[in-house]
This record gives sequence, C-alpha cells and structure tokens, in this order.
Amino acid sequence: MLLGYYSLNKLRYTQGAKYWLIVGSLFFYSWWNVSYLPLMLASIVVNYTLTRKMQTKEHNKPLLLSGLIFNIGLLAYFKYTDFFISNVNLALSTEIPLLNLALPLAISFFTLQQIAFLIDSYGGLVKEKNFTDYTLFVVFFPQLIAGPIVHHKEMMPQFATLRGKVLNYKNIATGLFIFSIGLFKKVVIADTFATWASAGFSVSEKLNMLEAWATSLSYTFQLYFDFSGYTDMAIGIGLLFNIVLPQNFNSPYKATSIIDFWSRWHMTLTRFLTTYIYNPLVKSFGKFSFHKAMFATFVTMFIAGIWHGAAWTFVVFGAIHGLALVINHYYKSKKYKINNIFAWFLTFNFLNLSFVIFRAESMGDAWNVMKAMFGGELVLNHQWYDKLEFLQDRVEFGAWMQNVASNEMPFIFAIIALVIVVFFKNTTYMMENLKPNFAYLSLGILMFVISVLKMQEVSEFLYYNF
Amino acid sequence: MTKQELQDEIITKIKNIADNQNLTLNQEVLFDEIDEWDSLNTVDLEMELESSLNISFETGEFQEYKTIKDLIESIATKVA
Repeated sequence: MLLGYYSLNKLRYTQGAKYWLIVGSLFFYSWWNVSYLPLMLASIVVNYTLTRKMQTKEHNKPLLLSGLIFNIGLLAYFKYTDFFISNVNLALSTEIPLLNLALPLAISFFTLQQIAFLIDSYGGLVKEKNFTDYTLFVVFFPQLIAGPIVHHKEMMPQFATLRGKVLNYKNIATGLFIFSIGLFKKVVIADTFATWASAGFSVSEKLNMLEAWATSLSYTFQLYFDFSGYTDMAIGIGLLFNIVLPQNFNSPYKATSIIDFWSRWHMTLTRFLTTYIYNPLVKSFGKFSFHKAMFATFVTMFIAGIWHGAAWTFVVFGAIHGLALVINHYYKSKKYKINNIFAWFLTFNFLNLSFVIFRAESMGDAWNVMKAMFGGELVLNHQWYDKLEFLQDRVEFGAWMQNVASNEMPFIFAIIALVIVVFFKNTTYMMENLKPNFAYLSLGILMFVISVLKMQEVSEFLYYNF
Repeated sequence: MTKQELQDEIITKIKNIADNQNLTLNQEVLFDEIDEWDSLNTVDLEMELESSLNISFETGEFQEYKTIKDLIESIATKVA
C-alpha cells in the first residue's frame, strides 16, 4: 500500500496515488466483509450528490432533511429493526418474524462521518467538489472501520499538501512506533483481559464476590486497551501516509468526574454528539437555561447509548451516564469541591459498574454480576488458609477464582493496568515527544514482536460491532 | 465595535459563564485550557454572543474555534 502510494506520488501521478488508496481501502473493507460494499458505496454516492447540490445554495432545508433521513434511516434499518420488532412482539404478544439482518461493517462510523459533513455543507462550512477526494475522505482505511470519526476539514487539506506526498522518515518512525503500541495494547493486554471477562460474564449467576470484581475490572481494562489500541494503530498507519488523525483518547481512566471522562474517552464521538446533537438541541429550546441544557445532556447521552447497539443494556448505559452527567453538572454549578483522589475513585468505580451493563448480554446478567460484586459470597484462596486462618469463621476458603481464571493473574494484571492508565503518559504524548532513538526503536520492536507472537489466537476488535 | 471591545466583551462573558473572575484570559488562550470549561459553557457562550451581537453561528461552526482569537476573527466578519 505504502510503497504504491509514494511511488505513484513520486512519479507525479498524484491522482493515481489517491485512486490507489481508495482501491486499497475498499479492498481492506471487502476483506472483512464484501457483502456490504455496495451499500457503503451507495451511501457515499447519495451523500456526495446531496452535498454537491448544497453548494449552489446554502441552507437548503429539503436537501438537509432528505440527507438526514437517508443516513439515519439506513442506520436505523440495519441496526434497530429487529430490536424494534422483538420489543413490539414482547409488548403486544405478536409474532412478527425478525429480519435477522447482519450489521454492515463500519456503518455506524461512515454514517456519522457523513452526517457531520452533510450538516457542515448545509451551513456552508465545507465544500468538496471532487468525488475522488470525497470518497477518500470516507473510506481512507485507517479510520474507516472504527474511527476516529474524522472531519473533512481536518483530514483532506493534509492530502492536498505537497509535503504529504513525499516519504517523511520521522513520520514513518513515529507511525510504526505508535502502531506497535496499539498492537501491543490490543493483542497482549486487551485480549488477555478478554479471556477473563468472557469467562466471568458467561457464568454470571455463579460468581462469588472476588470473581465478580475480577470479571468487571477485566472488562473495564479490556474495553479501554482494545479500543484505544485500535485507535493507536489507526493513527500510526495514518502517519505512515503523513496524515495526522485526531486524538481519540486522552487517558480516560485518569478522569476525576464524568464530565472529565467524556472529554477524554472516544473524543471524536463526544465531539460529534456535542456538535451535532447537544448544541442544536439546546439552541432549539430558545433562551439558554441550565435546566434545558441538562435535559439536552440527558437526551444526548441516551442517544449515545443507543448508537452503541440495539439492546436494553445500551439504553440503560446511556441513561445512567446521562443522569451522572446531569448530577455532575449540578454539583459543579454549586461549586462543590471534593478531594481529587476520592473523586477519581468514585468516577472509576462508576465507570466500572456502568461497563458491566455495557458488556452484559442482558440486564439480568448485568444484575447478576453487580449483585455478586456487592453481596456475593467472599471466598478466599485455600492456599492462603495458613496465613489467614483467623478469618475462618467469617469467610470461606476454597475455589475462589475458578469461574474466571485458574490463578490470581486477573488481579495482578488489573493492578498493573491500573498503574499504567493512571500514572503513565498516553500515546498522544509519546507521539508528540518521540525522539527517534535506539530506546524507542527497541521498545517498539519488542512490543511488535511480542504482539505478533501472541497473535496466533485471532480475535475481533470490540468496536467493529458498533 | 472594535476588535478590542469585542475581545473585552467575550472575556467578560467567559468569566461570568465560568463564574470565575480570576481567570487570566487573552487572545491566545485555548478554550480547552480554560479551567473547568466544558460543553455546557460553550453552548452558553455561543447563545449569549448570538443574542447580544445579533449574529448567528452555523451548526458546527462554534466548535471550530480553538482560541478567543479565532472567535473574534469570525465574529468580525459576521458583524461587518
């Protein structure tokens, strides 16, 4: 890919280099799943046509509306039809058959990216007159499948610069290093936690207290390392092509409030939600007031929950985060101050609990895990009996972790992970401060090699399902 | 209204919205760097400016401004 891109650019076939990237990206998409390629291409053609028409006349409401209906309709049809039917069936005791549609790969991401472009075009904030460039904007493969959700105006000018067309060794070195970090986060860290989280959630009704904590913490770390690892890889590959993709994570588990968390977690999604849902909603209510804004906050998070998937667990996840944000804004407006460490502790535990709901197959499973976390039986490792014998009247000694793992590794890993997410600098910082020296090189290679060795077990990225 | 007046007005509004008169603000300060500044404050500021200056921002436009200077430049073209 890379070789072709720079060779074509070197030969001054700059247009050819773009075609090359597009074809490569479409191939990448098809490699995961070819059956929805026509759907994505149709979405691109429709959106391009609409935004092209908007350029002749700004503020064309009918065009904007048809665009929004098309994009949201497409997303709703594939993502929510079956959820809707099954709930109607449940409520009215009917038996309407489900459509059993598979979710087209990346639809949530390319739809949002194009909605943003559509709304920006409506207001005359962006213009794209070239179909090739527009297609490249949507399908550029590092960000296609699971973000970051990129704005046209932050990516496309980079493709236009002359500098971007020549090999930049600093960018190549940084890109490879960032990619290696991402790969390591995903393959080594996230996938290790994944085995414990999956084991625990699959037998949620059997967990004792420590197992339930191991399960929930494993998932909380899995989710972060998986998704931010993916993002790092995307950003790393982007850099190889001299394209700087926007930051998507800023050490989210360092957050000391929920407001803080959402400004650090999946930042390009938060930006989308704030810009295109929250702000217009608040403005539509007329004169600004705190309470109207709080209502908009809740609605926005509710929608964010549903965007993640068609299930009641996601609805509840969005709702409790919406509620938490409202409470957070309320006490912020009253200028209540709480100790930073305590604030972090509260935030992290709230996140950990909310991710139980996010991960669980059903609200029942989520409830099982939470019940065990707070009221489950406390079972300690029988090997500790000698030292902790005095506790024998209060707790049981025996199979303390067998539903999750064969040893105490989940806790040891969780402690290491906690130290990393709370005390270490994040990838973006490393990217901006990278010195191409031997230490970074060795670290990068080491992470890459370990990851590749571990990759024999192929696994899926969590966010491919959203 | 001159740019200086505009700047003063924006800074006053930010301090009021953030409910913090001790903020040290100038043109180059990033909105992201303002202590405790969040999306609630952003939309509040946007709507305040819209009504007091009788201008309007497009959806997505206000989020493009990273600094007070960006904002001043944009408003200057709107009121001109």
